[in-house]
Amino acid sequence: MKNKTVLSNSLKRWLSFAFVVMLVCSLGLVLKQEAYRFNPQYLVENSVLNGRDFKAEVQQIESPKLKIKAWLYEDYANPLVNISIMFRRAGVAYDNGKRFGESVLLADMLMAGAGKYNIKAFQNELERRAASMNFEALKDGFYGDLRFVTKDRFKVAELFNLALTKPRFAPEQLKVALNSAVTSYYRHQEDAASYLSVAAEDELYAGHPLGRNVYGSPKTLSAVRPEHLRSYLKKHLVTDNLIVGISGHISADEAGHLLDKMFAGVPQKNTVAELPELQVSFSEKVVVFPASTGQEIGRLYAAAPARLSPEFYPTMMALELLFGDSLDSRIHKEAREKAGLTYGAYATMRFNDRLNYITGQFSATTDKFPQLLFIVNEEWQRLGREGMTERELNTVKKRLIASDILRYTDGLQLSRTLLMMQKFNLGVDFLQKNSEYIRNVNLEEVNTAAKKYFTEDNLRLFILYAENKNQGVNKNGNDG
Amino acid sequence: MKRISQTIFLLFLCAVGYARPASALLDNAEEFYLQNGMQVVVIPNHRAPLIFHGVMYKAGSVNDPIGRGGTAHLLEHLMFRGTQKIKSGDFNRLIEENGGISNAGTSYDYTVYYQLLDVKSLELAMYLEADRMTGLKINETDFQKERDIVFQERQQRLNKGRDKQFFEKFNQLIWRGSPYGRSIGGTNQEIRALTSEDVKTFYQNHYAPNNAVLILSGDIDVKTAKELAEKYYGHIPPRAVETVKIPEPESDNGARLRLVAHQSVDVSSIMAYYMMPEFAGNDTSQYAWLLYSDYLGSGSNSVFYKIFVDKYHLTSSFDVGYSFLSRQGRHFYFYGLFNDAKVQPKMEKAFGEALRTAARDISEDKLSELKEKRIAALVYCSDNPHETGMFLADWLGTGYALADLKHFEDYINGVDIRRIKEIADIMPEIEPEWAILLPRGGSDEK
Repeated sequence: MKNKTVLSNSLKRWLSFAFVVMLVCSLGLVLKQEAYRFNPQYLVENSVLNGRDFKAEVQQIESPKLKIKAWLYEDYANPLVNISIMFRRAGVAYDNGKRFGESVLLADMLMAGAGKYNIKAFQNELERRAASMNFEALKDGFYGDLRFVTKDRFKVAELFNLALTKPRFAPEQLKVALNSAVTSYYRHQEDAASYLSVAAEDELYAGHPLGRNVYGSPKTLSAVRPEHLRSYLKKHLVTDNLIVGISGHISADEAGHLLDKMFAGVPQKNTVAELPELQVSFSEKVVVFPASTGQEIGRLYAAAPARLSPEFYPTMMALELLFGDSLDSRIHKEAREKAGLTYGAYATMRFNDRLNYITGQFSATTDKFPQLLFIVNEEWQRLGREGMTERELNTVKKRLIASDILRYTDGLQLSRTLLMMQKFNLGVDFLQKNSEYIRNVNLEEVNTAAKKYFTEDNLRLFILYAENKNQGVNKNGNDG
Repeated sequence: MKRISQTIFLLFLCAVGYARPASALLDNAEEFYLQNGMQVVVIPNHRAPLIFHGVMYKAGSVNDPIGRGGTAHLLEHLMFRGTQKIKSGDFNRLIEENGGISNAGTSYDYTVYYQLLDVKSLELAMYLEADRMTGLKINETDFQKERDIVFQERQQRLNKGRDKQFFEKFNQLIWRGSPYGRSIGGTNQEIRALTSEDVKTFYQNHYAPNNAVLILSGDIDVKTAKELAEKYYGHIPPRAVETVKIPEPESDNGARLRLVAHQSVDVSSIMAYYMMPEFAGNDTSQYAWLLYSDYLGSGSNSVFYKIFVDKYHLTSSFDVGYSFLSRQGRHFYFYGLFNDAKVQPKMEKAFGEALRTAARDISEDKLSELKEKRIAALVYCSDNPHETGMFLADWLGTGYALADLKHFEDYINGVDIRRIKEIADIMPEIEPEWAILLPRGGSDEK
């Protein structure tokens, strides 16, 4: 008789049990790994800090007496108030051609003494309260920012009003302002990026006032006299042209009364003409400016849709994919990751009184620049030819929506945002709606816009070219 | 990996140059320590659900071994290149995807890594930051790529302004061998000679929880901050940290430096510089120095404005002050730009006159005014959580305590006029060291 190896029932049972235990243990190990495996999404979704309810409410207010309009974001986190103002139809493009830069001097001189205060007394009133007030003339706007502790608002409003209605414009102070403006002009000529920007826009606008640079020029600045400043003030800084954004520790009521104090006696009526018509060609050949520099820089310009056009958000997505400050941007992938280039590159849409355009800048050392230029050109056109994928669009959307909260980092940044919201008619609910607008963009719209705007014929380039290569380093690349 | 200069600019704005140091709102700031020695500082700010999360290591370029300048800075770059758990580049990718800003900066005394993001992504950021405190992995290919990037960035930076190399050279000479005279990122030769071993050694020697400060500035309460700090950083074991004495500047037997260069610039620059490394950490005389430097150069009522602008019409573009946020690199400086190179001797004369005028005109009234201004400015720095976080990194990284910040108002109020008079009387007697940059063909004759 053959011997059969027979597992006794108890042994069978034992083995089955062992088998089950082994299964359970393995499963346990796998689950344990899962829990310790890095899961970024989990960390965000389950964070104890998730689910904060945050509503950004912007109010439209009007001052009781003068009916000055402003947009207000009440924010009681800190006892500070930020007020940003802007006068349209002012700025160097609106200056007298023979004296352009007069608005730049005006910005300086408004802080140089008013009413009963000479420059020292005026500035001391602000400084001892750590309040700040400053003005800035850009191309098509004259801007002002005020920051102060809420309890000082009446004094600050009084000083602001004096600056606008009773500035002294003392000749000896104008001399100081002129000296300062001329120094600034030369300093900017020495900065490669500024130099290129000025030269490029001079070419681009071909004589139109928007082509003027925001530093003036030594010749035209020196032609400015106090009476010119006075007439500029009366003519351009009028409440018809005014936009105001307020954020901080101030109620609607308080803000309304403050506006009446700030703008009492400021002329109302606008008599400034619109700028002349403008034709810009974006399909011209590359223009090169030689300079003594160690890095080469490119500036680009292209036509863009209007701010309120349905093409705006689709084009923004495309531009973000191409130039966004992200590791996923096309330029970054090609230039940094693939080619190992060190570079700076950014681009954004801009809208001035006569032009909607994309502008940007990219730079690298002289030996790497030709490669970077090639990549920028190539990727620009590739985006137009091929468009983007759904996946790419979703990544861009997600990042833009998630980063929206960062606009609340700074109180002054917020008041400036409120200014821009009005300037471009974005709607008082813009802060809440922006993410929605982004979310609603579909791939077809984006690729249609890409096809239209990212073409060879819609890219105008200006290059700052190094005349003497290796400036700043000796032959071995050593420097000290 | 933006430039150090950007960080310094923010700090400058917040701290010294713009008269905006601490804040009364810092009353809400709290600090505590984890078991492993990691310091945690929390500054609540509830404007919006966003937060600045930073880890500051108390090691910077002055800790680079001699001849190995640029180590700390290159390490900063490599910290983004991956750990055992996280792939190279994923750190920034993950923060970006969640809408945050991620960056770092290397200073002389410290290195800070930070993110600014929606508060719901804070735990993710903490996980990642804690991970790279111990898990950094450096492979040779990545190392060389990053070293090259650092090299290229230096070229770009030097080429941005024609005077950059000149002032770098001046700084190097003036500090006479002290590491505060070195460029933070190293020279071209130093960068190219760095090895991955150099960087790994620095990481081992300095990056430990007991040598770091966690800074949380934004929409968080202290209780939650404690829980999360413990959860993400608590388990990291402390380690022995290298403490090397920072070499003092070499003695020069009283020789005073005067560096003059001619370059194709349109605007001339001049700098007067006083090294003051001997003021140690807890010496409250820096508050007197701060008020003194305000007195000299802050605003249109300052002494320098009166002399340089009102009296002699030499320039309105200048800056003067005491740079005290430094462990051993404190200095006093005057920097001015001027259009007409020929007035350079007048600039020097006016400088001396300004110091003597300051000594003569200081009064109790003036001092009260200066104190009032400094204290009024306290309110700004904790408004913007990003600025607050960077300022705290600078303050704590250069050896000051949070308690000092909270008592800032008291220290300022406590400054005695005799101390200011002492300083004001001594300054005209000390010879500064000069750096003068003139256009080609300009004169530097006295």
